[in-house]
Amino acid sequence: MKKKLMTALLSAGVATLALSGCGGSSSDSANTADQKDASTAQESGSTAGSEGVKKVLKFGQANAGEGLDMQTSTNSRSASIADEVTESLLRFDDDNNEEPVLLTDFPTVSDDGLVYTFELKQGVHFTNGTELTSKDVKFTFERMFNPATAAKSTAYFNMIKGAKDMLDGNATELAGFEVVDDYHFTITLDYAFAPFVKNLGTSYADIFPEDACTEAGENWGLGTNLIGTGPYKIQENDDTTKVILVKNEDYHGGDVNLDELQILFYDDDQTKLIAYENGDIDLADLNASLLSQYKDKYADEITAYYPLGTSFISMNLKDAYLSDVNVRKAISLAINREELVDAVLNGAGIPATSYLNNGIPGHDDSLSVYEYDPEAAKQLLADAGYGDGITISSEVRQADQAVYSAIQGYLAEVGITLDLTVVDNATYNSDRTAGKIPLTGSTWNALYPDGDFQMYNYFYSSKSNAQGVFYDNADFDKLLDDARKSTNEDERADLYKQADSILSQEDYACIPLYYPQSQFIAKPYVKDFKVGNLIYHFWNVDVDPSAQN
Amino acid sequence: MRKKNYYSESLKLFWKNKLAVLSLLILIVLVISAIFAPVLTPYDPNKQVLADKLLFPSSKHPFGTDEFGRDILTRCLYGCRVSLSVGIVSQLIASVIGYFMGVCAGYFGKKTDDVISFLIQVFSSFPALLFAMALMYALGSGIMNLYLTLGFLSWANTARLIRGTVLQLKEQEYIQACRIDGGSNLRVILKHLFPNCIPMLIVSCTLGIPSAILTEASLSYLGLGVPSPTASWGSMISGAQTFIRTNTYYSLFPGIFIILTVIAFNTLGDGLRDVLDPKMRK
Repeated sequence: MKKKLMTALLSAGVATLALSGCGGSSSDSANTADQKDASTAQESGSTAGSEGVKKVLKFGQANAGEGLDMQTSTNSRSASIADEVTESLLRFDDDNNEEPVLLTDFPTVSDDGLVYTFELKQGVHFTNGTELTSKDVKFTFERMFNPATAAKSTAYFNMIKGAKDMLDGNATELAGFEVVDDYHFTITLDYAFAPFVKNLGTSYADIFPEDACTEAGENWGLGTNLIGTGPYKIQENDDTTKVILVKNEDYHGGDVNLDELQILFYDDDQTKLIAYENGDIDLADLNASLLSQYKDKYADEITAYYPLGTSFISMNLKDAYLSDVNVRKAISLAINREELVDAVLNGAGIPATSYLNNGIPGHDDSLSVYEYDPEAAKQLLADAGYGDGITISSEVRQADQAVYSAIQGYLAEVGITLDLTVVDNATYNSDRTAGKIPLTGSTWNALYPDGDFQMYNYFYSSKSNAQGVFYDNADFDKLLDDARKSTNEDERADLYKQADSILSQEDYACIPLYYPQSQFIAKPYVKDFKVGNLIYHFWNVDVDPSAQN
Repeated sequence: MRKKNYYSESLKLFWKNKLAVLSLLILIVLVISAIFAPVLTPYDPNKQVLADKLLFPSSKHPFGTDEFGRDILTRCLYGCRVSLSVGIVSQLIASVIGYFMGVCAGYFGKKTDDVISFLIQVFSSFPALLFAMALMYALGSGIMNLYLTLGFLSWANTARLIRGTVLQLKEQEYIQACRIDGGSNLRVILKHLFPNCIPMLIVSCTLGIPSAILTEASLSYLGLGVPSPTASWGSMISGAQTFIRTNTYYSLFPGIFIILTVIAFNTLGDGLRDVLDPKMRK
């Protein structure tokens, strides 16, 4: 009998261990929007490496698994690697200001806002030795619109004349792209589109060398098949465990400080941080859910930053209950955003005051955090005829589970039962866009500070159907249309402010919760590292090899 | 009258097995606390008080509070309801399915036996957790679906045992006599075979409960069990995982409940088999 007891004890113990061992939290690759921007390189005149010690930085992150071709990946983790190797014509620095990179200056635009004229820098070489010319730029855009490429972010560029014909397979050449000579070209649009130059500054518009890219074919972006004009080149890449980048000695913007940058993949956050504690990596992104474990012990090594995103409750406005604006307003009133951010997110966020992120022009600074008043919420529900309580079903991703469990608790107080199901990212995406989820969590990030990016693709009437929102307000649509056509930034900001007011203060078409904070953890010998908006850039960073082991 | 003697004799033997009696006591305490949870604790298991989140154990909250400020002791007690009911109900379902499948296979033999034996093989060679995950995913989370899934998953073992027993029994003279006497198949199955299978069913049921409880905990841990905010030991451990370094007690308490329940059922099942199976009697 004793032996039996031991066996029972052991098996129960093993089972419990197995329970607590698996699972894990590789959750935060969940950013809905295609996030990324391109960024800074103040081309710090490099004096690095003069002591002859090799400077190596090891960075740990999850593997996006989408390759490094930013025409076919929309993942910010792909961009964090690709942006070191390939460059777009312009880019955003870590303060989210746009600057020319491969151009001598910003492009000039015709009075009607349709024709953009560009001048390339001369003497810029890809790391395979070929010189960058206008034909590479033309090739890049034609590749993007070639249906065989299956590029994912064409929506940001398909206002180029002829782009839609190419996407439909009716043309093989981009009508709106005219090569003047090796260093000059023009791009003509179908209609005036103010954010066009900003879209050119995203990683989606990275310029590829025609010869090498054609030769690599479908393998472009895999292994070492990514060649660009950037400050690093790929030395080694197995696509599954690590990528090793080395300094591009001929970089047109001056040398970077590092000799070598290793990107090591950890799909589990906890494992990644143990690797950090062991000194296997020098730098890693840190999920907010793990902040409570690390914030005291590593207070000096954690740096917080604010990407241009908003986390909000996304709703299907055709739902029986949620089509009633009073129900949506009641939900908003039932949630204590300050407490939510503080208690559930460990303070990693700013309670929202409206939909537009506070770093985007048009954000209304005069607003205060949404009111928390459960009694008023109950009254609104009662007035709307739902005094007996209602049940709303909901699907959220694992990354949002904690926040939505808390929201479930808030809503229970006012008589709303939230049926909460946690689903994987793929199910979430397909169910949400199909309009099958009445209520869910979403975080929409802008690649650069512009209201169009944050609003248009989620809430403009024709776009919101594809997001499963079904928002349709002609006044709101008109404001966004006007803002697209205007080239006056102050005027545009004002239009977005008005649009935001309709969206999130009157219609409650979404219920903004907070502007999320992101953070990274870096060893003290990692110097001058900064993140502006989700994508990591290693252009100014330096390490002190004497302090590194 | 022989039957009565058999059970009272078994009971006498059972009382001598101290470990099994202890297990029974533990289970009785767990059942009582599950039933009377609302009386035993002043807290609502799902009431969120974020101001009181992650409090260490104190006199106010003997097991501390979780990340939403809910009392962990209260949630453990309510979790008892889920675990015990899932264990017991699913095994009752498994026993019913298992008994009929086993009897049919053993009693009718031939083609019926071939088909059922094949099904038994299929069901017992499938990895249980994977199968349960797939079923729960298809059905959706919820306590009824848990009962069905886990019941449906564990009938094969019962069926195998019953089939073996019936194969032996049907050759016995009194069964033969009943059949010669014109007794219908149904009469034989219910009147003569069933009473003889009861001890077997009790044992397989009791031994099946702990594995059902563990599977439920695993499913809830993976988010496929009972929907939130309903408390379940598995989902509590899942929630506690993030805080394992800072608030270790949080994962410990539901873990202790799982271990205690599983061991108690296993020991009780062993004890019952020792006394109910004539061949095992010392």
